[in-house]
Amino acid sequence: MTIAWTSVAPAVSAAFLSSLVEAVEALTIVLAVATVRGWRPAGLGALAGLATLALIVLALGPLLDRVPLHALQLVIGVLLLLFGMRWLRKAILRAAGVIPLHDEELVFATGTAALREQAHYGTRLDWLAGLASYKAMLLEGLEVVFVVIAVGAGRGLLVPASAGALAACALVAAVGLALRRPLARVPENTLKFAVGVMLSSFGVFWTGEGLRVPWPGEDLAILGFAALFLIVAVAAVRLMRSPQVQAIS
Amino acid sequence: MKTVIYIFRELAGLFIDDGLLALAVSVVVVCAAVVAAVAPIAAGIVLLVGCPGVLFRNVIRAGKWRPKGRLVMDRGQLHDAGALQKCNSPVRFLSGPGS
Repeated sequence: MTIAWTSVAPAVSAAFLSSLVEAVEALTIVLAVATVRGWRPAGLGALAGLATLALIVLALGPLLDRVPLHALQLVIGVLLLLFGMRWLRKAILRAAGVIPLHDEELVFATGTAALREQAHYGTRLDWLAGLASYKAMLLEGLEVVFVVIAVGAGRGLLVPASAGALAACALVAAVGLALRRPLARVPENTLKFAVGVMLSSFGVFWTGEGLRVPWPGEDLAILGFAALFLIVAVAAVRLMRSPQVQAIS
Repeated sequence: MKTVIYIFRELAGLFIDDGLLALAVSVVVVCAAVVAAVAPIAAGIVLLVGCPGVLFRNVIRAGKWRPKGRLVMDRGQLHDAGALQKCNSPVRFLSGPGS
C-alpha cells in the first residue's frame, strides 16, 4: 500500500519539528542536572523518564485501535486544536514582543542555580537532581508522544510520524552530547510558530473529519488551512507591532 | 494527593495555557458539531472561520497587556529598553499572558 506524500510529509515534518523543540527543552534541564551533579543522576533520571514514557505508550497504544475512527479523529482534532493554538498563541506573543523569548541559557542558569541552592540546605541532591531530569524527560516526552499520536493515528501514519520524532530526538541528543551545553541558537520561536501553524491546521482537519465534513481536496486541504493560520498569525504579529496598537496599550 | 493534582495540572497545561482561548475553541467546536448535523460542509466553514478568528481575537486582547517599552529577557534579568521604570505594573506583566 502506498501512502501519498501529501499525507506523510505534513505529519512527519510536524512530528520532527515539534520533537526538536521539546528535545531541546529536555536537554537543557538534563544538562543543568549533569553540570551540578554529574552525568550519573542526570542519565539515570532521563532513562527512567524514557522508560515511563515507553510504558505509557505500550499501555495506551493498543487502546487506540478499539476507539471508533470518527470518535478518535474528533477527540484528537479537538486536543490538537487546543495544543497547536496554545503554541501558536505563545509564538505570536513572543514574535510581537509581548512576552520575552524563551532563552535556553537562562533556563539552564536558573536550573543549575536552583540545584546549587538546594545543596546549601543539605538536601539529598543526587535524588533531587535525578528527579528533575526524570520530570523534564517525562513532561517533554509526553508532548512528543501526543504529537506523534495526534498527527499519525488518524491515517495509519504512526510509524512515519514516530520516525520523524525519533530523528529529531536523536539529532538533539547527539548535538547536545557533543557540545555539552544548551542549544541556545536553535530558533525556537520560529520553530514553535511553524509547529503551531501545522498542528492547528491538523486540528481543524481532524475535527472536521470527526464531524464528517467532506473537505475539498482531502489531505491537501491541510496545506490550505496552514496558509490560513499563517496569514492570521503574521497579521496579528504585524498589528501588535504597529505603533498605533502600542500606543493604545 | 498533591502528586495527583500536580500530574493533572501538568497534563491540563499541555492543552490549556489561556482559559479563554480554550473556552472559545470549545465553543467553536460545539457550534461546528451542531451545524454538522444539518450541513457538514457548513461545519467546516464554522471551524475554518472560527478557529483562526478566536486565535486572532485572543492574541490582540493579550497584546493589550504589554508593558510600555520593549522587554528583553537576558541572563536572568529583565531589561527594559529604557522604560521599565515607567511601566505601571511589571508584576502584572510577569503574571500576564503566556507567563
